[in-house]
Formats: sequence, C-alpha cells, structure tokens
Amino acid sequence: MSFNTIPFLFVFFPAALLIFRLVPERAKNIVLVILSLLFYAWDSVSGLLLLIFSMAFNYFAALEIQSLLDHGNRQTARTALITSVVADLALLGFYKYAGFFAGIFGVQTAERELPLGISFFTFTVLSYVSDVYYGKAEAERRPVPYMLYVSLFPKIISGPVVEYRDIVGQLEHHPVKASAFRSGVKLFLIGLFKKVLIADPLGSSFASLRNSGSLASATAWLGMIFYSLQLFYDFSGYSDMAIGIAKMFGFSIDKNFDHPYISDGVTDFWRRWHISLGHWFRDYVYIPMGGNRCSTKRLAVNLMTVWILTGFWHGAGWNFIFWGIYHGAWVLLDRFAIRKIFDTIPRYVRIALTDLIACFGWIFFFSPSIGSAFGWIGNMFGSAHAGFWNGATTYYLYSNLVLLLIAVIFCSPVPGEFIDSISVRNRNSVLIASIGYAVLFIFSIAAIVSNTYTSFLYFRF
Amino acid sequence: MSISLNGRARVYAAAKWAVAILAVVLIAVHSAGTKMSSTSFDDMKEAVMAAADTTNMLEADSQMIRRLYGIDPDEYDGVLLWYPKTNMKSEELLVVKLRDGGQMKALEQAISARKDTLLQSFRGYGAEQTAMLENSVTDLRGNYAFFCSADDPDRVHQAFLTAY
Repeated sequence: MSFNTIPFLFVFFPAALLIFRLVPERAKNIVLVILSLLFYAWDSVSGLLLLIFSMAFNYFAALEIQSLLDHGNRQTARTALITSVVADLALLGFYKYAGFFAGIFGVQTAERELPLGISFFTFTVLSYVSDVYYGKAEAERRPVPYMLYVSLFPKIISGPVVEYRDIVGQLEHHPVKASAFRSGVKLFLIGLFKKVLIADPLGSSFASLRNSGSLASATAWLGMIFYSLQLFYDFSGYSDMAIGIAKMFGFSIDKNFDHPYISDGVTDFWRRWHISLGHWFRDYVYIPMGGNRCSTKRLAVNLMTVWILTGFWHGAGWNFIFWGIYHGAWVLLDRFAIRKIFDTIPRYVRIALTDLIACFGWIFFFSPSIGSAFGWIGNMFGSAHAGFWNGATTYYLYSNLVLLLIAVIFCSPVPGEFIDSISVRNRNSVLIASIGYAVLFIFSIAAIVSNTYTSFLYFRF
Repeated sequence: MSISLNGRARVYAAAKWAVAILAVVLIAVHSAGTKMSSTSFDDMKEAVMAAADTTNMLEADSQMIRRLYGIDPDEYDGVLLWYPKTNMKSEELLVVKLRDGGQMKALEQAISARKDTLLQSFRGYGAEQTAMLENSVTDLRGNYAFFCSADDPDRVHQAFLTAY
C-alpha cells in the first residue's frame, strides 16, 4: 500500500491511528506490528513470508551473537555475524542480483519479482545484527519491539533506513506528544504535496518528453532537469511522509534530505541526499574498512568501494555501478584535488556546479543502460541533429514553467523558513497556516483522484 | 565447534538455521511456480491479436499508454494496448513483456488503478460495461502481464496462455 493512494489516506491510515490511540499502552506495540505486517501484505503476500523469515533469522542470529559475546567467545560471535550477513545478502542477491551476475556469464535466468522493500529491510536487519556484535546495542529478547523495529510500516518499503542503535531507545515506549503529532501531520502533508503536486506532474512531463522522438539539445537538458527535480521531490516527499507518520505514532526518525540542491560541493551533496543510506554505508562499510584513519591510498579505495556498493544497491545494472563510480570519482576529486579551488569561487557558482554534477549522474539513473545514458548526454550536445532549440523545447518549457519555478524555489530552505516564521507569530497565523495545509491536502487529494496512480521511484530499489 | 561452549547460543544457532532452511524451501517452491516465458513479444502479440476482437478498440501509441496506465513503454520489452474507441465502451486489451521482475508490482498497481477508473466511470449507469469489467481477466505471470476486458476475455486469455 502506498502513501499516495485513497485506500491508505482514507482507510488504513485513519484506522491505524484510531486503533493505536484506543488500545491500552501495553498493547500498542503489538498492534503496530500487526498493522505494519498488514500494510506490507497488502502489496506483497509472498514478500511478507520472506520478511517474516528474515526477521526470524536475524532475531535468532542476534541472540546467538549476544550469548557468545556474553561468554567471551568473540571469535565464534564474529563467525556467527559473518554467516548471518552472508545469509542476508544471499537473500537480497537471489532476488535482486542473481540475474545480473548470471547475465555476465551469458546465462539466461528467470526474472523474479523483487519483494517490496527488500533492499531496505535487509539493510535494517544487517544494522541490527551488526550493532549487537559491535556492542552498540543489546540483542532484543522480546520479539515485539524487535519486529516493530524491522517492520514499522512508515519505513518498511522505502526507508529511511533507521539504524538500530538510533531507535532502540524508542522501541519500548514511544509516547505521542501533541507537538510531535502536529509536526508529523505537517511533514506528512508537505511530503504529499511534494509527491502529488510536484513530482508526479514533473514525471509525467519527463515521460512525455522522453518519448518525443529526436531531442533538440535544450530539450535533452530540460529532460535531465525534469528528472532531477522529480527524483528529489518524489523521494524526499516519500521520506517526509514516512517520518511524519512515524512521528504520529511516537517515533522520532532523522530527516532523510536536507535541501541537497543547495549543496556547494559533491561531498556536501551526499551529506544532504538520502542521508540515512549514507549513514548506513558509513557505519557498516566505510568505518569497518578503516574509514579515514588510514593511508591516502587506502582511503581512496574505501571511498570508491562504498560508492560502487551504493550504486549497486540502487540496482543490478552496469548503469548503477557506473553511477557509483562517477560519484565516487567526484567525491575523491572533491576531497583530494578540487576542494581548494572550489572554495575560491562564489557560493552560487559552487552550488550550480554541484547541481550540474549531480544532475548528470541522474542520467545514469533513469537510463536503462550505460549506452543509452551516453546517448542522452550526446543529445544534450547535439548528436540527434535536431538543433539546439525547437518547438518541443518551447512546449515543454512553457507548459511546465510555473511547475519548474515552484520546484526550484522549494529546493531552497527559504520558503519553509518563511512559512514557519509567519506561522509562529500569532494565533491568527497558526490558523492561516492550518488552513494553508488543509488546502494543500485538498489539492493533493484532487490530484490523486483525477490522475493515474504513480508509484514512488524508490519502490524499484 | 566453540558453539558447544554455550548451550543457549547453540539453541539460537539451531533456530536460526532452521528458519534459513525453511526460507530456502519456500523460495525454491515459489521460484518453481513462476516459469518465465521465452516467447518473443512479437509472437505473443500475434497470438493474442488473432484471438481478440478489436472492432470497438483503437491501438494506443506511447502517449496514450502513459496517459491511461501511467507507465513508460520504453521501460518494458514490449507493450500492446488496445483501448475503447469511445468512452461508452469498456473493451480493453493490455499485454506487457517485462524487462525485469521488479516491474511487476508497479504494473499490477497500474492495471488495478485503470480497472478501478473504468469501473467508476460506468458505475451507476453502464450495467453492461460494468459487468464486462467485472468479468475481465488479469494475469500477471512471470515476465508477462495480461489484462483483457471483452465479451469473451477467456478466449483471448487462452491464446495468451498458449503462446506463453
């Protein structure tokens, strides 16, 4: 079930809130686990079995590791951790990567339906067993809080990937404060607005542009901008909704995006985009590999490994691996070569250059292969021989001008800060802000009802 | 094995591997049930079209596919869509060959949403069209997706199954 559907917005979500509110304190967690499993099963019954198996396997794995550590048997605990990690990755690999690897060796294999959210829940359970092994948290003997951590419905399908150490303190008791609830509602509505009223229309224009035949250079550039904005609003919208819903159930989850398109360097960009995934790779891959406390050569290897894995996590394709290498190379350049030069140029130019680097990268994201990505880049530089600008460019630019302007303006924190500043001034402002959010909700619902359902882009990962 | 040092750890390890074995069995059974088709999209299209009556339908171009189903045909190995000539009819035929298994979920949602839209537009006055939609056949099978709303959707579905 997706957050941007009528059954979720008007049936599941209000019912879940009501049930959660009505049940006694001691039953809240078990109710939330049942609701989360129902939410997941709505879209994927076979996936639900896998999710349950994965949860059960890692539940016992963590208890085994904890028992071994408690008896001072670190070596065997390490073996238990490694076998658990291998088993978890094997499950992910079977569904997500087996076809890719078989294809490398020329073996044609059956395509498998990717269980919903498998990349996210696998990283969640890996976080759990690793945190237990590294002593960041104790293994949870009670199944309910543990299951709640893995399956909590706002984050099960597309994250944010919450690390166990960061949320363990909230699992047993997570009272819903009125201020947190209000802030959750606000965040949810902002996320819905981002998805339904910005990302979806941009996606529709991008899909149309993409299939409009030979692209003039400017049209190809415009397509890259459409997709870059769509991806941001789609995924950050989802993340806002997920974090907002979690707040309404008493959980505090860190933000997943922090205005990435105002970053003034590649490293800065990746501190602001899909923050939870970046933290996961930092804590469970980069730091165990030695992090930055090593030689320059080793550091470069560590960074590039993390980036190749990040690319590969997004999809089993050479285009994603290339995307990882592309960003790894920019991060290395940023760190070792161009940072000092970058710092000497005006901030707006740095932001523009960073956005250009990021947007070029997204071409490898939306293209089905490296070849077609380079084909698109070729179009941007005139390889389609359709000129720099034609009627299609004018049409796509002018028919989306307002949308583009809104999308670009809301990439910056200024509109949000402005709305916050006027809404705290006095009581009337709070009322006006509330009416504003209600109007936003009505417009979003109108758009959902009148348009074809559009899935979130990150569901495919 | 040093696991023998700790009876509790041994129990947990046994439980862990028992779960893993169960999971492997489940995956094996599930995978065996989803046979993939090696039929090319063109062959499938030919077989389905031979069984379908498209008198009341028009073939959709990429733009129309995106409009009606919200999917991008370029992301699939093949998409065939015939849609009603007028908005007073509810015949429809969709055949999609997937590029990868991960696309099935989005496609399932797209078909379901389209069917709901059609049902909503006929509910209350178009009893015949509503009945046709309620008898429609949706089959998500391996690397193909099929949806048919017609007087005799089973005949077209049978052609799809035979070609599959």
